[in-house]
Amino acid sequence: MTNPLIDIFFKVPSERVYIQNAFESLTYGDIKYSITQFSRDYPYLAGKNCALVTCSRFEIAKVLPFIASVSNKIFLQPKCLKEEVQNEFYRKSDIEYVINVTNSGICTSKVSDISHVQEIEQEWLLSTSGTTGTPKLLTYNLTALMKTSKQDVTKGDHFRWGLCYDLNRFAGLQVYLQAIASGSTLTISESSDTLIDNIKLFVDKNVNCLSATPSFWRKMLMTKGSERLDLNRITLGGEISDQTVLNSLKKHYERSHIVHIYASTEAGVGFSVKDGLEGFPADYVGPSKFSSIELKIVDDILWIKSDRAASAILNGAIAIDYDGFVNTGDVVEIKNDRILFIGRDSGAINVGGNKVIPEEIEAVMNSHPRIIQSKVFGKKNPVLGMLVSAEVVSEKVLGSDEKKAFKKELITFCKGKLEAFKIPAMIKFVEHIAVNESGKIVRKK
Amino acid sequence: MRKIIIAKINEVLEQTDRSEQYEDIEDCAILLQTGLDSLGFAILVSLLEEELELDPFQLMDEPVYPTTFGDFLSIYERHSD
Repeated sequence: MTNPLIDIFFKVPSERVYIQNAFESLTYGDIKYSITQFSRDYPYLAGKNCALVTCSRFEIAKVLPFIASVSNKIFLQPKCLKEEVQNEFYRKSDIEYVINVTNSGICTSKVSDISHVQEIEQEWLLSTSGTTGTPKLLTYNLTALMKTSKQDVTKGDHFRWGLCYDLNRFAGLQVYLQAIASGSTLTISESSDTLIDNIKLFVDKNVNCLSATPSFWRKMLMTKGSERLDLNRITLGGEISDQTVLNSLKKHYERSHIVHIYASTEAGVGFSVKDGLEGFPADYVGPSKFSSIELKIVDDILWIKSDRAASAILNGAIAIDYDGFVNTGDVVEIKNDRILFIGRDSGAINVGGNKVIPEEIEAVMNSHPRIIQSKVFGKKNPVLGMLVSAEVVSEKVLGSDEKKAFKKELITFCKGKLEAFKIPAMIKFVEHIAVNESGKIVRKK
Repeated sequence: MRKIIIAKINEVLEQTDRSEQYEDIEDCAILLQTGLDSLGFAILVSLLEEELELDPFQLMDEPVYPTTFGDFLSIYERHSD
């Protein structure tokens, strides 16, 4: 099996640092040596389908090349996957071994004994967010995943990437592959670190390329110490990048090259916008603008066709039309030759990168004995992009003091039932909520 | 304006289960160290918009993300008239 990831370790100068955090640093040479050692220590993993489980981003980056060097398929399992979902995913993707990585080492356990087809090219599996709705399980061909990454090892020496996403998520994996494809150094923060720790680490390690969500950037701009980062490449993704955050970054990091990317896990990496303006130029839509992707807008929704799309969907459904376009579910608007993102067609709200499904919150609100009906929607917010808002119909008409008290009561009622970012920050009392002919709440404005 | 903002900060702190409550906040206090996290701060901006019918972050020509309470207050004072 050819493996473009492993090739990198034999191409990049051995002394160059591969990954580092505040405590540890490993070179490309260290990994190259350990790849050989690993196949000797774990001969039974050869050609097997493996699920990789660990809480540490650093550990994933450390063992991923080892596992990639021997296995057939790798499932980068996210933490907090429910057991029944996990078992279903293992079954659907023919997982044979689960590899647990902790600070004390690697522990493997056999979960099944199946004969499977040996792939010609290695497949990597990712799951979409498991915190809301049913997670999807997607298969990617590693060669396709690495297609967009630039592979200039000489230039790569000048780029020092910081990682502030989980590696078993599409966004994190993109940063990882982009960094190492050209032999750059990746400085890894952990999800448990505070932002001040993150910034300190990135400053100490001279990180000059950073990819994060707009909400993360906004929070960073509000944190002392961030001005010490000497960035020359800034990437935003995962949420809508508004003009304010783009301008603000340009002001703070004058020398940096700012790119906002549009990508959906289903469609693979989409495209990047480099002109510093929100949205993207209207002439991106239509054939042959890019070599490998094509965009179209149908009923205000963006559809994308890409040769880098997930090669198979093992769990869940994705809307694909006859011409091979994937429905992104993103609602767009055309304004002055620019295409702007408005929100999600499903009504899903993105609160600082966390997905919120309105129906889940409505169900909780409606379970309150004095609520007749509720409608949850996203309200634009300059800090987190969106915040959860609700309109509720109360059982009886309330005076202004009663409204205040009831609002407090409702928020308390939601605590413990919903995570903090899902609790409606604003609650408005209304007389009725519009529904359509089939009795569903009208969500589109 | 100062009073309104502090009252709203206290409201958000309560809403987000924080124990801190303030009579006054010094101008040099770091916003994200008052007990407000970024969710709390986001809620604060929205509650202030509700109260004052003003979202200065939408109106700014030069985008600024405030670090201290003083920065935050002056953004609202500048845009309130």
